[in-house]
Amino acid sequence: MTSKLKVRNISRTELSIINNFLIKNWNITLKNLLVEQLHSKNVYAYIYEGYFNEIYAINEDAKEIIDEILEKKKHPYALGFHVGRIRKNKFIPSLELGYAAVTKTNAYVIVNDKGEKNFLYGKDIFTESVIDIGTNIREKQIVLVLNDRHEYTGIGRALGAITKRRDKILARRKVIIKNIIDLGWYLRRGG
Amino acid sequence: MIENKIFHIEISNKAKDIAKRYGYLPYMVQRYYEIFGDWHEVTLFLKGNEKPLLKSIRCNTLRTNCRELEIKLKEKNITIEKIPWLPHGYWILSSPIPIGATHEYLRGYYHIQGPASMLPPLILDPRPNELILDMAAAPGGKTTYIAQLAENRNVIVAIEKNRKRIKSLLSNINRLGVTNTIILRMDAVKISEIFDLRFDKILLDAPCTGEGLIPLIPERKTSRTIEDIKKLTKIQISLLKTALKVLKRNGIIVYSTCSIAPEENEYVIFNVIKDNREFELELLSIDIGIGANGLEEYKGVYFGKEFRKCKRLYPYVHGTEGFFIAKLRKK
Repeated sequence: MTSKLKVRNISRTELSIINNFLIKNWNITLKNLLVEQLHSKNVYAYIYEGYFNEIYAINEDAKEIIDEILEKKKHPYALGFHVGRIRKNKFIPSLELGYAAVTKTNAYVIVNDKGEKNFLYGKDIFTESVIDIGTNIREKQIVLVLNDRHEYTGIGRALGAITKRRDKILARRKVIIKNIIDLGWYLRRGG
Repeated sequence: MIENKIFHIEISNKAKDIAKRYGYLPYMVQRYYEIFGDWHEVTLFLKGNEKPLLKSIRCNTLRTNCRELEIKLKEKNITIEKIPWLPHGYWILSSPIPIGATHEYLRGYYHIQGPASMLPPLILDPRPNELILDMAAAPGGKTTYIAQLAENRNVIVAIEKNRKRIKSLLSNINRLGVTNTIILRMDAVKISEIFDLRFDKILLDAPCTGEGLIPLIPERKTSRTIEDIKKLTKIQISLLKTALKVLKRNGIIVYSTCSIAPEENEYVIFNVIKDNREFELELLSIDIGIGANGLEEYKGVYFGKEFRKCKRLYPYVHGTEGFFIAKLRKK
């Protein structure tokens, strides 16, 4: 029926991997990131086992239904909110998780029109395109990429530290943000 | 007996002539005479199908507010106009860029959706905390609108059988910020056999022959026979019967198709009501400010006065794809 792959509850270890990532990069836990989004006191995460272990989060109401479906040994194709995936003990956030984090974290860079356009085509960001930051960014930090209206564009990895002094963005590299995933994905791969 | 009456067609010479002129299979034009009861109206309908339909979008309030969207699209020289009978619908009057490739589209601020297909979720009237079933969900325009109308505060079980189409369903769900949907890839007819779930509301936007889509897909003028319609009618009846099994008492079903064929619409509902012995089914009025009434009768088969409560949309009258909607309550 729905899939040969299997949906199961997330393990403690897997949840720790996600929370460690989120706290380190965005200073927030999965629960705090999603409670409002899911209109729920609690957030329940499930793993969809496959080549990647896809992670989904749902609220209490949906949990009741999922439990009933799993009880019948059936597995949904997808459920609730797509959190991201775990591969080789590494968490990769989904586009949607970045979208949900926009109002929850200061770990962002703001880019100009040119930077936004290039990023949406899957390209990296030059330091000259960064016009502001939410807070100082560490090298290798995973950050949100926003446009000058604070609109979400995608997720990138800082290739070097980024700081701001007297309204000037300082970084030691020409290309400063590596594209991890951007909203252009919906056109390129979304289906 | 009734089935024979519905599917038996004697084609007149007039129907053959008109069919040739507009490039249709003759059986279709003969049926249009049975629907409209007037050759002049049939001609208006056929002429209307030759005109392209305006594109339309639905503003997605899960991601933005409609006023901001209006401003943003205006800045891009995209001319839009509010569709008066839809709370979130806009006509696209002109656009210098493809509307499926703007940054606003990627951010999920809107969805490209035909105006008629925005109606079933509105008529379903989803509320927070309800459990809702969408029985043929891909590509997700209606599923995501159900989520939007209940502000993601309900739970939607969305079923889709087709492997390719289910990907676009998931992509749209993610892009539009829908967080409350459980997607099952299966044949919807089996849901009552497998699960004990009971739903507050059900949307059955049934697979159909697409006879309302001729302005968008002119090939449809010749691509389907009456046998194709007959086959789909059976599937539609079986889906509607399944829907009734898994609907709670006093629950609501909205049945819709993008077809104007009475065989796929009034006849399906009539057939299900007629065969049903377990509970009472009531056709409910639909107050949407647009649409012609459903047919009371077709080809000598009297469905009943209450079938006027259904709504039919025609491209030549309403400027939308051809569409049918019915709302039923299980008592």
